[in-house]
Amino acid sequence: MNAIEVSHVSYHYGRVTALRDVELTVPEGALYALLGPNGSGKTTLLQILMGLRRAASGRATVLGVDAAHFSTADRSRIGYVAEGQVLPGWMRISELEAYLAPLYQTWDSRLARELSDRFALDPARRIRALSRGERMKLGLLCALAPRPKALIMDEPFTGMDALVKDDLVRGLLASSGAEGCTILLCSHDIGELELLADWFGFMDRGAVRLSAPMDQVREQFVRVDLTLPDDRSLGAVPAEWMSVETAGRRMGFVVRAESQNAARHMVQTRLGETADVQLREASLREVFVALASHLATPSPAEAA
Amino acid sequence: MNWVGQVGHVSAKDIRYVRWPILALLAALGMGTSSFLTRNAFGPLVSTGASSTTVTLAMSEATVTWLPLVIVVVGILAIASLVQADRPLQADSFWTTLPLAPSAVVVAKLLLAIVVITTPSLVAAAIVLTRLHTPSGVVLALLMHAALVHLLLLLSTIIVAAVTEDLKGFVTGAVVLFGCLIIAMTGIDELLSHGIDLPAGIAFLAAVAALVVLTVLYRGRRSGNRQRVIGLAAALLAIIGATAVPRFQISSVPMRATGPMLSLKFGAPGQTSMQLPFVVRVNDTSMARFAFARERTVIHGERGAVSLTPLHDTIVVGRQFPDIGRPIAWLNPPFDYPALGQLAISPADLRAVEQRATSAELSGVVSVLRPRILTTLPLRVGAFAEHDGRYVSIYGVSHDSNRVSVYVQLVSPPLIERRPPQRVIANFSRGEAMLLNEHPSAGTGSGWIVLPWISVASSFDQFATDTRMSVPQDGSWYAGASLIAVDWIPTERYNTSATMRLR
Repeated sequence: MNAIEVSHVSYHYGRVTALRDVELTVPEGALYALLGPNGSGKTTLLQILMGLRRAASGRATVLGVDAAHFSTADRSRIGYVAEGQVLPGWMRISELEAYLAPLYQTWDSRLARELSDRFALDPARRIRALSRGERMKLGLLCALAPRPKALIMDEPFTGMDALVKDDLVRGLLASSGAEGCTILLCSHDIGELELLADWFGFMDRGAVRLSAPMDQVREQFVRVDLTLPDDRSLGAVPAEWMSVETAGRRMGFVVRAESQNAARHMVQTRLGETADVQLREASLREVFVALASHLATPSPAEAA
Repeated sequence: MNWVGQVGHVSAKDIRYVRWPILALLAALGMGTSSFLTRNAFGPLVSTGASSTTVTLAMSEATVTWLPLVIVVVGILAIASLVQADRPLQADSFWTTLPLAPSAVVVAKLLLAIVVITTPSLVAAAIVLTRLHTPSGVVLALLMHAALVHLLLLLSTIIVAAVTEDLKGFVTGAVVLFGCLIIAMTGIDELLSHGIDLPAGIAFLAAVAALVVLTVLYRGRRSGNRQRVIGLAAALLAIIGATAVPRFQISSVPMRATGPMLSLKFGAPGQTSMQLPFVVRVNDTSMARFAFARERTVIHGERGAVSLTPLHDTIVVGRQFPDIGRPIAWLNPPFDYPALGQLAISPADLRAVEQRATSAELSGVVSVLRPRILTTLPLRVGAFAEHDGRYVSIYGVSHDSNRVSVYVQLVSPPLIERRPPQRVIANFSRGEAMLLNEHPSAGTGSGWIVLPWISVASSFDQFATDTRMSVPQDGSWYAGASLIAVDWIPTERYNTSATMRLR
């Protein structure tokens, strides 16, 4: 069963198309990392999923409910954290908690206290006096304390130090694992996502270009490092080799293949058995860079 | 949490957010109310310098001008900052991510505007008006008018705050709105000058439109120029609607089919050739007076009829001395009541009147006025009374062998169908009384009671006997005398018309 489903969703800012016929599914209990370059439409998609924007066409559902028609009860089961979210700066942290708690039947005061301690948030402090990172922590506290069934997070790690990030990652993993909370998050902090996510999606120019379980991504994206024999020249780089780096006769790139064996076969078909080829699973960062650079380069057909 | 709970919860948060402006508002209301209750607001203002004491015949400007403005401005800023804290036109406003119904959020703002900002002001105004013993019907009418005007203004404020991002944007929006308002009011004034009144329905329409637009803004939560233009248009309509709020008339004077006939007769033309005097007489021997409000004048001539420029003047004729409740000998000689009216005539109309006019037809409404004692004060400086919504106080008395003068301050909110009272000095033990004439006012002023929608007027007037009459020379006569203020209350009305032959 899918907790989040996006079907043929489009959105425009005036004449600019932000989302074009987007398709996305997030299984229940998944921790889905949505990556993409700046301006790819991630934030807009998350806002549509929260019902904060209305899609021009298509349908987006969260926990089986159309995001355009959330009731207050539906909204109480969904947590949301965004980097630019405006919090009421005039309140103290304790006042904000006191304001939010009655709105949620599932508000867990103990969890709120734990998170407050973990994030070192002083309940007596005014929100406007908090640093950017502290505000994000508070946003997370507010999103997590109601123990939501779905959590949508837009750049949640912004401004956080490594220690807190680590703590947060553990907390999110616990929420996702033990409580079956579905988490969809987008972040530029790929290192953290690699630890967290069990699903991976990649957006570019308003469309989801890739959506797959993390295991499958690790299996299919292979990092190839090789040294060309002295008597061989590569010639034109094949289009399916992504993020190609060369240094003298050494070369590295990422390919998408069924398996590492299939990748080895692909390379050896091109270069012959003489090449010194080393293969390993591509890291998430390498996959991101490969996809981003590969999609940014127009294919021969597009260029034509 | 159900919808009602959400409204209460958001309201409680909102009150906390604007607690300082609200406290400032309540402090201003407290200051204004206490100034009226202690009568400091009414004046006269006494300032003591090093060598002299100055008395200014005026009301306290701080109370009747500045405080009402402060009360309105603080209310506007409070509600504007509140709305901008939960803005509808920002996709990821904090409130939009919470389990809150948009209608609950907007209703919380409206409730705060009604309960916390408007109601205390109305309560303060009601306290002041009640202290002046204003009739309850009049208090209700004044408060209803003020409440509707104030709420329309706050509705307009809420919309402008909703479509702007911060206080700077709000002020800019308000300035743009003000500019549009001036242009709109210029057009409206043009209409009014042609005798077309703004229908009171505009106020109702404006309120409904404002509420619909607010609901749409909060439910849609879309930011765009279209939303801003629609919002500003609704805000402008709300302000125009505020100017069209009717002045409720609780006790209307009944209209009769007929009444005593008035006879009209032209006199000699006045010194300016643009005016033609006419005399009004009434065939009636009762205790009443008759106020003839001319509405239409038609000159009939050989070439047809000409309607003169509308002039809504009023001429009072009838009973000379008021009934003051007991038999009294009036020391004033009987005099002919100056029942003289003036027809204002344009140069073109004047030629018609002078050359070929045969008759003039005047029509209007006659109000039958009957005397009622407003208050009786001992004839001494400092005596005062608050009655029927008015404050009357004596700030000077003088008499010599020729003349008696009494200096009286009258403070009055806008009362329905009330004319300035007549003043009489009476000594009941001697069974004598004198009617006083009003002299040019020493000082008049106007201001507001708590809110700028409840006006109050003050006049410092000298009332004196006619120098042609003989006044009591005995000082003890004045020691036992009273000043009586007499109202002439309209009791019924009827339409009348009369035709005068010009040649």
